[in-house]
Amino acid sequence: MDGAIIVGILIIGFPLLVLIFIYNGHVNRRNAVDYAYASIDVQLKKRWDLIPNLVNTVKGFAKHEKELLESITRSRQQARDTHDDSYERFEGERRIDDELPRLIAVAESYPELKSDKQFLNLQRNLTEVESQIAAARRAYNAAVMNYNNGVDMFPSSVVASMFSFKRRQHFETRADERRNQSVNL
Amino acid sequence: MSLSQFPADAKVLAREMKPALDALEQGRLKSLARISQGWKKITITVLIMIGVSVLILAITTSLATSRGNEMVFLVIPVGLIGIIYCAVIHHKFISGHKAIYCAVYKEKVIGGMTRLIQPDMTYSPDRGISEKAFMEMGLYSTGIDRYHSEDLFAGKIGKTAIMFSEAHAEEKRTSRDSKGRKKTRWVTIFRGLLTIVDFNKNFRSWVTVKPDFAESTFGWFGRKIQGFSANLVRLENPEFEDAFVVHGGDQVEARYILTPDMQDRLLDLRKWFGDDIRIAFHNSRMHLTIPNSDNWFEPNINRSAHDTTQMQMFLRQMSSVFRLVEMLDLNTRIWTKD
Repeated sequence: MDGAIIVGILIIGFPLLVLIFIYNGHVNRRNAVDYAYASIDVQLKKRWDLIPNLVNTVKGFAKHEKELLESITRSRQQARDTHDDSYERFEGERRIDDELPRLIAVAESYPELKSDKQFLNLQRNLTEVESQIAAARRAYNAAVMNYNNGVDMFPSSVVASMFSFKRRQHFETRADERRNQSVNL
Repeated sequence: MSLSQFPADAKVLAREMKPALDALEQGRLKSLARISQGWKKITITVLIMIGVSVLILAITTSLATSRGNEMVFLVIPVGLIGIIYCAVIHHKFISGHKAIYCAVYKEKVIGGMTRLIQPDMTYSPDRGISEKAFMEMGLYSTGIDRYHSEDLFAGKIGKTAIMFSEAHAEEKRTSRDSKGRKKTRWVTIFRGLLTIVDFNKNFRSWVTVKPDFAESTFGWFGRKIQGFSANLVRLENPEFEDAFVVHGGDQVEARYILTPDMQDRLLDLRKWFGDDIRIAFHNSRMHLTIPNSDNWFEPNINRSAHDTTQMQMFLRQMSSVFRLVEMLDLNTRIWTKD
């Protein structure tokens, strides 16, 4: 009789233990993704704070670049309005990724602006923030890869589908982030 | 004048330093004469000791009495006096002169070459990086019981502050043999060059980069074992991952420091200095240990002070570390750190 109870406990208890173990693994990896996302978020907010100063500084010297300046201001506003990990948010940030280097390139074609102390300071801060964003994205992508492996691989994929652990999107890396950095001021 | 501008050729430097080398060579010849004199004195002392001992033994053998047996013990004080005298002579005439010559050579030649190729660097032969700084690197977990460091280079290369020195850290290990006797031995934990360089970015956290023994020895299993470490940082570059194991206090900051470009540069550094280099990043500085069993920056008194082969060797030794700043592109300050 006792033996049957023990076998019964083992039959129910062991799979339950495995289930708990796998479930906790998923939760652990999902939290790591959320944490990594929060790190990107902090850096993106820092970049939002820099954009108005940068736009105002450039505006003072390069009045003919109104269209680009307005576009970048709109992209910033859109990214701020969709303050979550949605596709729209990532799209807004991606547009800022494209427009900011264009703004810097335009600014550098104005010699007075290129030697302006405030502009140089903003440019340095922007480089710093962009480096931090790149690092945070790489950390986020590493966490997403780890999480997605858990969601896709058997047998953890069974537990993932039972408890609705969904795959997460990678944050695409910009082409210039993949290249070796050699910037001179 | 930087290394790239100045021809790092010992013959060119020797021409610049000719008066100092001439004076040093004169000193070296005088030292060699004193050393030779010292060896002569030691040889004569040893011969006298042997002669007296043979004489005492001959007398005791011929007497063949109990008084004669007692006289045998006279050999001991005679031997002791001889040994003490030889030790004094060795210190005064041989090791003392060698040490003085080496100290002057280091100051005049190695110090002089340093000033010529890197004017913002100084060389202090008797100083080194402290034991506290070595322990704070966090690269060697074992306790240190004996530590020595010398040949300190410190200063700036461009915008980057750098210091490096030779160091030898040992641990005392005691064990008991089968008869219960205590045995003590000194185990080298690290011997080689310690380098501390100002990093071109500010950071608050810490990162260590060590050779990946677990993965290279146990392969997939080693990688799994590493995965249990809470601070493990896995990076994207497979070659870098095969070579090093990275731990860090912050996943994002670890990647801020170890950019893809920096990973490539550290792999180049590994090719340059060998597979056993270890790196720690903290306090916005980079700490690098380069194991090396050779004793660097030690001149040979038997070689002329004008010997450019020896000078070239020292030049190559110091330049290999000066090059570090260029190899890691640490003078590029595009971030907020000036």
